[in-house]
Amino acid sequence: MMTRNTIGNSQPLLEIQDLSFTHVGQSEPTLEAINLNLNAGELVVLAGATGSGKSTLLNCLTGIAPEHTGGKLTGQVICQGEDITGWSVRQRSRFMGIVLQNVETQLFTERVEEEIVFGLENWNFPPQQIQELTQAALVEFDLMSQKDWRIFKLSAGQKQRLLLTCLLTRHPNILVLDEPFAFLDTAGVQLLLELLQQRVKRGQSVLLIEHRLELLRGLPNRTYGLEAGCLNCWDLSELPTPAESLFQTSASTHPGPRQSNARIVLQTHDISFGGYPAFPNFKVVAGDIVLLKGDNGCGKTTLLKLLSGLLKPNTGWLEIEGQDQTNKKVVQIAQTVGFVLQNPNHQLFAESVSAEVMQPGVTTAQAQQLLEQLNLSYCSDKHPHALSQGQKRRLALGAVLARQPTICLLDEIMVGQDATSLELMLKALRTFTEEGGALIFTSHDPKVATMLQPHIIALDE
Amino acid sequence: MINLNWNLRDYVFAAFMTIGMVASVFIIGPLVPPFLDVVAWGPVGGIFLTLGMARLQKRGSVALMVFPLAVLVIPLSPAITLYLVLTVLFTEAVVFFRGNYRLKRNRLLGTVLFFASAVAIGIVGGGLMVGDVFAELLTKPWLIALLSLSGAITGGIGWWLGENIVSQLKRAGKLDDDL
Repeated sequence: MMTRNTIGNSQPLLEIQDLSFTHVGQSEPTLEAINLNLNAGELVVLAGATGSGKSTLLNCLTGIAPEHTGGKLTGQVICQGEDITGWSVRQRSRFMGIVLQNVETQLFTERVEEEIVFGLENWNFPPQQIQELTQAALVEFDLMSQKDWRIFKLSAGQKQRLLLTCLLTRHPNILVLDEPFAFLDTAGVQLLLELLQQRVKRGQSVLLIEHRLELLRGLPNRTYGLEAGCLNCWDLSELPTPAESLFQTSASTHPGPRQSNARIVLQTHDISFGGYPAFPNFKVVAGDIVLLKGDNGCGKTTLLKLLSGLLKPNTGWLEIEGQDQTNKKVVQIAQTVGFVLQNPNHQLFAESVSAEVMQPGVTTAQAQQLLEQLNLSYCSDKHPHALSQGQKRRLALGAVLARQPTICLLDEIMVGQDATSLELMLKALRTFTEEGGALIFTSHDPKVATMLQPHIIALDE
Repeated sequence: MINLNWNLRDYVFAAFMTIGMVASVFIIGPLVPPFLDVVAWGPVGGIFLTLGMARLQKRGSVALMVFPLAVLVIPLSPAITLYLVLTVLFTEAVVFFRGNYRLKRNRLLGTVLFFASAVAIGIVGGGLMVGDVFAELLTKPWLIALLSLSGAITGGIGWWLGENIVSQLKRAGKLDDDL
């Protein structure tokens, strides 16, 4: 169903007319005859299955596609009455600001404060105003304590917060946000929701991609679902009420094993790293599901890297299956510990989806079963980097599970998954733990905790 | 459809390919005799040249990658600058009449011409301006022809390696190109 919406008689701020887009090397269009209007002071949400083309639509709006990605675009994008279809990203950025899904692709400078200043300088703001805006932004987005930090030291959530800071400080007419809540902690989500409401009241327009629609209940003027390349109008009030969140329950900092006779697969002993407070000691037994819980920047990813051997602790030691890991190399640890990284692009190397899972010792039947479990069998011949971010995360999980590790570490891999994909992913993880694997993961999504019922290890900043 | 205008990302990409070519020639060059450096460099230099042509696609792509290098080496050696300029002009002139670098066969032609002409022009230019071993080579046209052919073959190997990367990039949706 094509949708054409115009509220009132005023000219829309952004108008998409019969927009179709076909990716490089594809014969079928990803987007087909999309029509959408965005009026001043509106918040419009775009949802849909992982890989349905939501990010592609945003890329088409902002000029990233086809200029930087290749592909074929037809139709028109009109901004404030002007046809901007042929405009470059730079020209369009006068009207719109975008936050991309991958938090690492939009950061250019070395330090937090410099990053905010950089954007404003490029827009030729007066020096005095740059200073004022930067200081105000650092306070508003709770980045004051990290203003001199090197950006590579920030967590994904902190990077996402910084990107939003840079964008919102500039006040473009249209905000285009691709899963801006993905890595934010509860406080960050609340802050962004409040800010978006404020901006919409001031007349800015927001086009937002989000899978966690329960976060946005009551906020959007309209919600669309992208299905088979076409936009359909969705009613958020018809969505089921989210289950009670485990994040709201009290967390045990030292959970014990579930069964007294269960085999201990991992045990930490006073490990610490860098400037983080010492991590709590904990034991993980076979079949355990453990959630590392904490605010952005509290050290969740660092702890996972320590457990995987990618980092060596400053103090303390780690025991896996009764063996001290202090002098073991990463490759040795990787034989028992699988790690799915936050950014899936960093661990996909094969030429096709099936080849990524078909590792030594994995039979074709096992690989196919895994791909089916993760709803990736339909794209088994595709190149891994041609997948959407959500699909890449599922594939990275599949590649790790194919090796049948004893312990599986997952760093925020549930982001970017639609409800069905998330359920499939969690089912695969449930099967893994039922077969005796231990799972340690991080996630800010309450649904995940509700569904997996994990032991919670709280990390303090 | 090729956008005929050069833009910032083209310049940046071309610059990266130039850096790759320079770095690899500095590593490989000292390992072989002077008149063999282009032949030895072909498999590596050809990768960067092919990637640049596949990404930039327009006529003048080779010039955009190599001319900045020619300008940079003026203080070091005007002879090298002249040699680079002549090589590029020859390559671009031939490919000009066949279209652009979007087509795989034109990229092969461009790479083979670049390396073959680089060897021939390098030896002739070196013989006339530097003398020494190059002057001696001028007395053996068959050897110049053989070295040029070797340059074409090693450049062709570089093209083949580069096309493998291009096909991966295309499958990943990162490059819009004809294979």
